[in-house]
Amino acid sequence: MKSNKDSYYIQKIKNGDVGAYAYLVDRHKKMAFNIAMQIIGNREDAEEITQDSFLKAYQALDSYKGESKFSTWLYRIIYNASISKMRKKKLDQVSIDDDYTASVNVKTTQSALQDLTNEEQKLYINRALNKMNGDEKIIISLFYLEENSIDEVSEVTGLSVANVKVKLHRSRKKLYGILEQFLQKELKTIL
Amino acid sequence: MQKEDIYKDEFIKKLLSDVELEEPSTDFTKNVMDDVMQDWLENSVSVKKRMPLKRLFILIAIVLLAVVILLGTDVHSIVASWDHPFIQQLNAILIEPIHNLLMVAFNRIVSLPPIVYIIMIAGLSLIVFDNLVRKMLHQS
Repeated sequence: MKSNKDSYYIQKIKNGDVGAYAYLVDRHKKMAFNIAMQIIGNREDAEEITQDSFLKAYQALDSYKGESKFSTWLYRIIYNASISKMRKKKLDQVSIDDDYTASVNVKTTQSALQDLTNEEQKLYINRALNKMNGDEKIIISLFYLEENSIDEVSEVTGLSVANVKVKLHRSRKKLYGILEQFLQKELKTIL
Repeated sequence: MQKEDIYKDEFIKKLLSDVELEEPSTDFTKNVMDDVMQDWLENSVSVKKRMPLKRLFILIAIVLLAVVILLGTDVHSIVASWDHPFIQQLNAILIEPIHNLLMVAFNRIVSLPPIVYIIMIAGLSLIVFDNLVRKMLHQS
């Protein structure tokens, strides 16, 4: 339904109604900005890249044939722009591949998290997400928040389907591990 | 998927449903649209809509055909031989003047000195060459 509406507005733009692009920007800006944020890590650069990518997408709209969802096509542009910006800035990505997956007790973590208030839960989840690297955050966000399929995540990130599956599995496990570590630390401070 | 993975999958889905994505600045859409409008204005000024090549060829072919018919065949005398007041009038008002005009133009073109043809061909070649170079530069 969402992509149907997108194609309606894309057709309007192709027919000369440039203003219709504002609708697409409004609809996709949040996720687009978050993809850039997760790779770049600071608001100013992320916003600049997202803005430029929306312009690039507009300029390349004639090449969009509707074979994939507009959002998938757009996120791919933003993903590539963010990655190349990162390379240009030569930022040393801190490897956060620490072993967070050592001992994951699913049911304990779940029940401990469920005991927390909503606000506390959000805080822990955001903190845990911030501990993950760009690719992991993007895969988690695209799959769980944007409800993209594995194929669509693969198209955005340029990773193979098998690779996305593996990364998704690892990211899920890692997110759990990080949450468990946070909770254990909290328990220790309380005791 | 293992049982543990299913638990995690479901639980993360539930947890992440509460996560709020960060919002870009409030004038984000306006900024993007300013850029888009600027781009649109620049392109609409620099790119004139051209007649499709196919339509242009058809138009040239029709004009050439009309000229050949009017010059090559004695249309006005054929039409004049038809004994109908409307056809006679049409011939007198339209076909004969056009025929005469084309004949004068044809005779003048034929009597032009060769240097004029050389200059015309050179000019046309330059225009074609310029277009080709522009296209190549644009593509690169």
